[in-house]
Amino acid sequence: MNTKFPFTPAMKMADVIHSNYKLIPIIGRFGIHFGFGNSSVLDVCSKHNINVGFFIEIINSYHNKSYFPTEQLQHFSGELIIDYLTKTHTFYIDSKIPEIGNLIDSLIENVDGNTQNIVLLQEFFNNYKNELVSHFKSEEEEVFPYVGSLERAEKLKEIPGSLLEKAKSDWAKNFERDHGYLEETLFDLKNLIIKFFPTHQKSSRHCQRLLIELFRLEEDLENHAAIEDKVLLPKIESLENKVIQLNDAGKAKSK
Amino acid sequence: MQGKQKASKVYIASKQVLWRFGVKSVIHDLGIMADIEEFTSIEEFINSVNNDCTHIVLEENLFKTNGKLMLDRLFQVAHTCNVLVIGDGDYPGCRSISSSDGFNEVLNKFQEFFAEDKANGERYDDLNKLSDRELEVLKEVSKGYANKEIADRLHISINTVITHRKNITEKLEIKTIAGLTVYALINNLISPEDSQQ
Ligand SMILES: [Fe+2]
Ligand SMILES: [Fe+2]
Repeated sequence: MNTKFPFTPAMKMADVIHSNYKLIPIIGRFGIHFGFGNSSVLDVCSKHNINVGFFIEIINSYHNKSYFPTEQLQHFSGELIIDYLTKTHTFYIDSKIPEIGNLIDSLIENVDGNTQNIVLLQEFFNNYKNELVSHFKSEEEEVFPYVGSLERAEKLKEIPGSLLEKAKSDWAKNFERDHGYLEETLFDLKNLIIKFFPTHQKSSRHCQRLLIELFRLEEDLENHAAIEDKVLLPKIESLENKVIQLNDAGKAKSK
Repeated sequence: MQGKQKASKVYIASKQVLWRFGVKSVIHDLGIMADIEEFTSIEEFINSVNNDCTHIVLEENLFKTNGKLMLDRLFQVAHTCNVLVIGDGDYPGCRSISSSDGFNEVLNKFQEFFAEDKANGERYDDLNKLSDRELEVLKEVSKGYANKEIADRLHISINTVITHRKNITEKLEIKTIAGLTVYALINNLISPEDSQQ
C-alpha cells in the first residue's frame, strides 16, 4: 500500500492500523477500542459518536508529514479541536510521561556501578516534565476556555466587554511560544543519551527502550504542537475578528 | 533536526561544469556539511590552495600532462589536505575513484573520504572536540552565569562569548542550558555544587 495515500472513511479501520501502527495511540485517544472486525472507519466512528471527517484529518496529519490538512481542520469547531487536544494532554500526562519515568527508574535499578549520570538524566527529565505539564495547564486553563467563550459569543451574538478587549489585544499570539523551547529540551535529552551517555551491557537494553519512547513522544508532540500552531491559533484569530466585527455591526445598528 | 558536523572546506577542480555539479550533488546527497569552492584550471587552483582547505576533489584530466609534479606542489602548499582524484591513474597519498567503480563504490569512497581529516589526524570526533576556550565558556554557562558575567570573568568581549556558545552548541548539538549543564557534569567539567548556583 502506498503509505503516502491519505485514508478515507470507506477504508476498513483494521487496514488503517495495519498500514501504520503509529496510529494506535491516536485511535485510542478517540476512545476507540479494538475488535472492530471488518467495519469501515465511518462505521466505527459513528458507533463511537466520533466526527469521522475530523478523525480522518487527524490520522492523515500523522500518517504523512508532508500532508498537513491545515485548511480542512480549521473547518471543524473549536470545541471539537479542543476536546481532542485536551485528550492528547491526558494521554501524555497519564500514559506517556509516567512510562518514560518508569523506564528511567528501571535504568537506575539496572545500572552497573555508578548511578550518578542517570540521576542527572532523571532530574533533567523531571524538569522537562514539569515545564510540559505547566504548559498544558496554561493551555487548558486559559487558551481553551477562551476559544469556548469566543464561539459562544459568536453564536449568541452577545459579546461581553472583557472578551472584546481580549480579542482586540495580542494576548493569544504569545501562547504557543513555549513550543520551541520544549522541543529543544526533548531533543537535548535524546542527544545526551545517544551521544554522551556511557552505557554498559546491563543498562543498554533499558536505554534502547527509553530512547525509542522519547522519539515517539517527540513525534507525537510535534503533531500536537502543529495542530495548535497551524489550526488552533488561526482559528482563534478568525473567531476574534468575527467577534470584533459583530460588535462593530451591533454598534452601527444601535446608532 | 539533523546531525551537524563542522563544515568541511572543499575545493573542487575540473574544467567541466557538469562534472563539478555531479561532485557537488554527491556531497550534498550524502548529507556532508561542506563549504565548497570551484576551480576550472590547475593554475588557478594551485594558486588558491592553502591549509584552510580540508578536502580536494580533482579531475585527473586537469593535470594529466604533469600529474606527479602538480601533486607534489599541491602537498607542499597544503600538506594537511585530503585529496581525492577521479581517474584511473595511481597517485600516492591520494584516494581515487576509477572509471570501473560502480555507484555504491563511489558513494562509499566519498563517505570514507569525508570521514577523514588529516589536519586533526582523526575522525569527526576530533573535529567536534571543544577548544580550550570553548571548554572554559561551557563551564561558566553550566555554572549558571549569563553572557555578560562570563565576558567579565574570562576577560573577553560579549560577542566572543556568543560566538563560543554558538560553536559549542553546534559541536555538541545541545541547545539548552540545562542540557549543557548535564554534559558538563557527565564529563566532570564542573562539580555538582557548581551547578547549584
Ligand atoms: Fe497542548
Ligand atoms: Fe502547546
